[in-house]
Amino acid sequence: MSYTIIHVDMDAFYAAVEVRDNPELKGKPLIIGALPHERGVVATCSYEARKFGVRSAMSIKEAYRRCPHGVYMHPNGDKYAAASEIFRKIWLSYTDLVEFVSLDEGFLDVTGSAYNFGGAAKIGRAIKERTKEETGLTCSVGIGYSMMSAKLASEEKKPDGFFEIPDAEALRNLIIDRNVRILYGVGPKTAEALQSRGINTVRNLLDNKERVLEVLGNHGQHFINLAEGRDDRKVTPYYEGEAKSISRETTFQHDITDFDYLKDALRLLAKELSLNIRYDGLYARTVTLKVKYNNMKLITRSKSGEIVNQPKDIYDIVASLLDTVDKRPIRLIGIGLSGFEESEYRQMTLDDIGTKRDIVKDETLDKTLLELQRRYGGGVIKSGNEIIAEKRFREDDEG
Amino acid sequence: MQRIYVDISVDYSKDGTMMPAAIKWEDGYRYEIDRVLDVRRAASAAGSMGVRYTVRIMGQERRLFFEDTYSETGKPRWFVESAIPSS
Repeated sequence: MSYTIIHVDMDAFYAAVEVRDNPELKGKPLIIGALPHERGVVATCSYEARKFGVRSAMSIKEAYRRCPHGVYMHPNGDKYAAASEIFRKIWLSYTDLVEFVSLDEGFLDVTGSAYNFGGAAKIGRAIKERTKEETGLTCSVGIGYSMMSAKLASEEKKPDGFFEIPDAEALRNLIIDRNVRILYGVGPKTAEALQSRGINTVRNLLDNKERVLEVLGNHGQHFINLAEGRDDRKVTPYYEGEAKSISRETTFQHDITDFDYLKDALRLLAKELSLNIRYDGLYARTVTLKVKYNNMKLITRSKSGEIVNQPKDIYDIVASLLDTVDKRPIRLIGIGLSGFEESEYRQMTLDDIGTKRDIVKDETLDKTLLELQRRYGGGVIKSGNEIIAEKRFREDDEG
Repeated sequence: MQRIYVDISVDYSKDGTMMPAAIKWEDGYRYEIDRVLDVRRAASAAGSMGVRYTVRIMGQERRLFFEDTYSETGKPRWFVESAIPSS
C-alpha cells in the first residue's frame, strides 16, 4: 500500500511568534527558554541565534557563552498554543488523519483526500499560504510516500521550504551519502557505535548490513529498512492515539532540600495538570512523581488506583510519593498523569458513603469553576493553598 | 505599523454573527463603520492575529482585528492597524 504523507514543521515557532508580535526583534538572535541568570534550557531559538551554535535543549549557560549578545525571553505558552490552534484547524480541513507530534509539528495522511484537493502538492502549498495569511508565520512542508520521507522532505529546504520525495528511489538518492544521523531514531550514541566501526554514511550502512545487525541487533534491521526507504509506520490520528500521558515539571534555580517547598511546587503543577485533563473531561488512573537530584539522577514513583482529576487528589498522591524518596538536594520535580478514562463513574469507597452529597456539591462547584477558568484563564481562581504556594515562589524569585 | 487597541460597538445578529458597528477612538471620537467589506482570519502586519474585518469608514478602507485566540490581557479585544504612533 502506498501512502501520501505531508509533514508540516513550523519554522523556529516560538521565536517566530515573538518576532511577529514585536518586529524590533527581527534579525536579532532570539533565544526562548530560561534567562541567562536562571537554571534551565533553550526551548527554541531564531535562525540568527542558530548561527552562533545555539540549539534547542542546550543549557542556557552554554547558549549565553555562545551568544552573549542574544535577546533572551521566557516562553509564552498561551500565545503559542493560540497560534497552534489556528494552523491545526487548517491541517484538519484537508484530512482527519492528522498526527500532532507537538505544538508546531504534525503529519497528515492525505492518501485518501489528496484527489479532492487537486493533489498533495496543492494541499502542501495551500497549507503554507493559509498559515502565513492566518497566523503570519512560515512553515516547511514535506511530501513523501512514508512518514520518514515526508519528515526528511520538510527538513530539506527549511525554513519556509517545500520539497517532495515521491518514492524510495528518490529517498535513497537523497540520503545515500549523508551521515547515518539522518535516519529517524539514530541518536548520538547509535551514531557513535556505528562510526567507531567505520560506518559513517547511509551508503556505509547499506554496504555493511551484517555488521550493523551485529552491533545493533533488531534496531539495526529497523535502520536498514529506513535506509532502504521502507517505513511502515502509519499516521496515528489524534482521536486514536489521544494523549496516553501528560506531564508537567519545573526546574529550580537552586537545588532544593526543603520538602515543604517541593510540595508547594507540586501543588501548582497538580493544578495545571488537573485543568488540562478536566477540559477534556478525562480522569487519570495513574499518577507519577518525577524527581531529578542534583547529581542528575532521575527517579520516578507511580501510584495507580482510583481515577482522579481534581488538583487536590493529584497533589495528595504525589505528596505521599514524595515522602518515600531520598531526602537529597533536588534539581527538578514533575508530575505525570496516565491511564486516562472518560468515565465520570468512579468506585465509591465506604468513606464516601456518608459524604456523597458533598461529592456531588464539589463536582457542581468544580464545573462552575472550570467554566470560569475556561473563559477567563487558569489563574482566575486559586485555592488558599495555591495562593500561599505562589506567594512563596514569588518571594523566592525576588529574593 | 502598530496595533492600536480600541473600544468597539458591535452588532450581534440572531444567528450569532458579530459585526463591528463603530470605533471609539482614543480621543473619544466615534467613527461609524459604513460597511464591512471582508471578514477572514488573518495575521496583522502590526503583529498578532485574529479575525480581520476590512471595513469602510468615511470612504476609507481600514483593517480591524478581533484578537480572539490570545490577548495579553487574557480577554479578547479589538485593535486597528495604524502607521501613526499611538498618543
